[in-house]
Amino acid sequence: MLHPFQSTSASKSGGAVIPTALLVIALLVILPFGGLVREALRGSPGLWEHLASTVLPTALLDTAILLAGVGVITTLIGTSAAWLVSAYQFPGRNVLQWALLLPLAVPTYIIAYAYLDILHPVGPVQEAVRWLLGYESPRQFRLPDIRSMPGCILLLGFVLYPYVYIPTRAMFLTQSGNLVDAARTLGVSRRAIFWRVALPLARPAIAVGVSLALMETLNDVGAAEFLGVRTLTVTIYTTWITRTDLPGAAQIALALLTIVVLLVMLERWARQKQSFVTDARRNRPLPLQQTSMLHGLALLLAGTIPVVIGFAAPALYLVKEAWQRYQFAGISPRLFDEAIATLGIAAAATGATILLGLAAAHAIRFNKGRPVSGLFRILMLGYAAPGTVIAIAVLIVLAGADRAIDAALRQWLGVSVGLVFLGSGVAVVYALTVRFLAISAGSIEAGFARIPGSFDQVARTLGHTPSDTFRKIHIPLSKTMISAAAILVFVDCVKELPATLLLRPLNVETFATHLYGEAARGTYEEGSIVALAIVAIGIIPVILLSRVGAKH
Amino acid sequence: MAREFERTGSETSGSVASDAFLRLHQVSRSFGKTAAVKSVSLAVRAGKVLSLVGPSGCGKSTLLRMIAGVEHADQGRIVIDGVEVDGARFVQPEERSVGFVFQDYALFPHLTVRENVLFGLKRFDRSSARAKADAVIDRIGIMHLAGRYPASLSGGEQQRVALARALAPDPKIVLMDEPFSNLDQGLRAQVRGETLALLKGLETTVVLVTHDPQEALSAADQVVLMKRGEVIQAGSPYDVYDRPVSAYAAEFFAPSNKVQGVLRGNRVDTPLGAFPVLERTFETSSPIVYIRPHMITLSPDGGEIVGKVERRVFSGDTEEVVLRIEGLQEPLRAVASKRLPLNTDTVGIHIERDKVLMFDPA
Repeated sequence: MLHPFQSTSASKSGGAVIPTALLVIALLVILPFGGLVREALRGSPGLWEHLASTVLPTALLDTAILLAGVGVITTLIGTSAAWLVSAYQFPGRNVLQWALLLPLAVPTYIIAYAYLDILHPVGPVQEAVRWLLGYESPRQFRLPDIRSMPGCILLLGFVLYPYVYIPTRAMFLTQSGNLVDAARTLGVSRRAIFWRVALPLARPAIAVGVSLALMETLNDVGAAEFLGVRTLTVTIYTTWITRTDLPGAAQIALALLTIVVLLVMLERWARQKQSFVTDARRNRPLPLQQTSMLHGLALLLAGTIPVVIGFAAPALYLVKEAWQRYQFAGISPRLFDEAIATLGIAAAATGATILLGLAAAHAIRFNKGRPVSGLFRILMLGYAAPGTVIAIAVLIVLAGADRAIDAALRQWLGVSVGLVFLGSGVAVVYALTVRFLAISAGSIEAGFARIPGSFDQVARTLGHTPSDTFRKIHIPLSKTMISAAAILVFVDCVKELPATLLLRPLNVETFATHLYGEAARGTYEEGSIVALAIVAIGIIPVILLSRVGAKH
Repeated sequence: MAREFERTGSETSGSVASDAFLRLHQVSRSFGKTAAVKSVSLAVRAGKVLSLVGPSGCGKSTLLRMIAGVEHADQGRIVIDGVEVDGARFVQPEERSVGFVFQDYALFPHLTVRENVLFGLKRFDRSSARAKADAVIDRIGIMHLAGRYPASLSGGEQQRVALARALAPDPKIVLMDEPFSNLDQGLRAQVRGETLALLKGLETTVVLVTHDPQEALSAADQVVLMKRGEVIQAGSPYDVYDRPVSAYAAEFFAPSNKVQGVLRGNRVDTPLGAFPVLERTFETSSPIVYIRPHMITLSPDGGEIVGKVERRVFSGDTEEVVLRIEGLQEPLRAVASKRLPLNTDTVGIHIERDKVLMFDPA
């Protein structure tokens, strides 16, 4: 009764206590990080002091300012948007509830790319402002440059606030009804409820959301670079690309990882607090406050602002630009090649993550115990690590492997195969798999966790082996979770920039790296078309998410 | 096919008491530092129903899962139909030929009723598996549900599907873990009666785990009372009820009135008079006398002892009467076999003095 399902252990079932598959997968995940540490230690003794006196101070400061700024903006927007749609009844509330998720579809580098043009001194916004104020030339009047730290903070804030909005709204929806009623009978006014009850209650949810938003901020390489902010992530990238200093890049990557570890700790701490709150299952959502027509419209307008800035404006801009480009030049065959590369890499990485995720979830289902769940947690490492860090780590490991294979073949067979892994796209698929394995393994395992242990036991007594049971019971019953995980991973792979940028084979471009190239060169050719394609694909998980939200 | 299904267990049903169909020999199991089952030995004859009863956490479910093989024993041996399944060797659950019915029924939600029943018939070819499944489904009386999914069934229907699924592969033994406790009060007795009648008809060997003393007594040929991983008492239902080995066993099956007594020769004196000591079930000279409510007869016309009616708890079929008696601190609880007039103040009390139980104070 203590253990609802304990599979038969090693001595009697013939299986190892720690299943080999899980061990191998965990090793695959850990291996690059090990390589990273080794490479960082390999750097010449003076290297770290050199880094510490030159690039690091700026990078650390810029990263800290960016994180603080994005933290404040996402908290402000995410929390007030969540409160708006959970506390007030106004026209358009239902649509706004899910529309507020839309900025999730816009990757950070695309919002930066779009606004560089929208807010350009001769772009639509500044032209309109000058026309309104009666100025004639950008020389007479211009808005502050978006290519700045404040610009970067604002833009990232407007696409990353949904990370705060989602858990905070969920908290308001499921938790606060009874507590708000209790507070009101204790004399707290309707107006004071937000500050005295709702906000303190939502604090853990906000902390979870902010830490996720900040992890995304650390992952970003495109927006910061386009907007001229030299974060640690950008510094890693340039240290490797422009200075080909791998030990240096590895050292900065380790510095970045420590910040990530702190964020992960924040997130875990907040989740523990949250689980304490969510214990009360029978709570009701907040009763909605009715509003007058005018008041309601004002609330709708306020709630629409983040959607417009974070999604509608850049998306419409991309539609317009893409259409103009299409009319001007049609669609070049290059784009088809890029589409195939983008979808091919994403499909390969999705296949790999789902297969490994299934294997890992199978292992943890049939082998309970501390070593197994410890190993399983290792698989989650990748998701917190920025793409650039994983890319550098994979680069180190696979470049070494490539050299070794090539040297061995040359010595024994007299042929040179070149870079087997880095040249073939295996490297980028590996990096994406390490990065997104957490999504597939996590959600497949969560799907399995909802299947009662008695199902396994009944299946066994009805003559089915564990692998039969897995095939006939666990997989069919978690079909939805598995396909949802596959969609999430696939879309994330399509959107992913830093790892793809660093590890793609020569002369292969994906949509994301194409866009990066154009933005870096300052050319605006087919960028809007590929950006639009990425945003369109990015909307798929938002739809999934809003359907999950609707079930609440 | 149907005949084959009906023959389940019949080959061994004629065996004598000494050769048990299921035998557990000093079986133990711990989880970490908690000993869930401590050296339990028991035996069930073919075609008989054994109920494992006890409070939650007493190890009865762990014991059942070890018989099924979804849990292994740390020590001891389990033998089913002459084959050792745990001990020197371990037979996987899929090789043991046991049917398992769970409290939550564990019906696979993505399979129809028929597909659920077919799930355990994979060693048969398609058409004979189908015929076999339909024979069981028909026998249990759920043919009209065969094409439906579990989510659309009532609790009682789900219970029957779980039973059909467990019986379909002709298991040597059917194991049931609280199979009736998810049913409504009224339905429970009916489904239990039908299920056990069916299993008896099939001469299936059954081990039933329950926390409900009434269920254990009414369902089984043999009752095994457990507490903290150990067997307290095993015997026929009449045996364990009438001749409990300890105060715990006595109280588990029926709450009693407890009266302090003093041993004098071959009788025990109490404020309710003297009780003969027919069998020495205690060691001290001042035992507690356990008087079950049904051992007391009440009469409005007076009797050997007179009690004052303090409270009446009327629940339809029966009425509990709480009585105050001079010289007795605790009130005495009795069950009125005949309805007392509503204005009754005092009643005469008659106790079946040779039926009471006596144990040492705890």
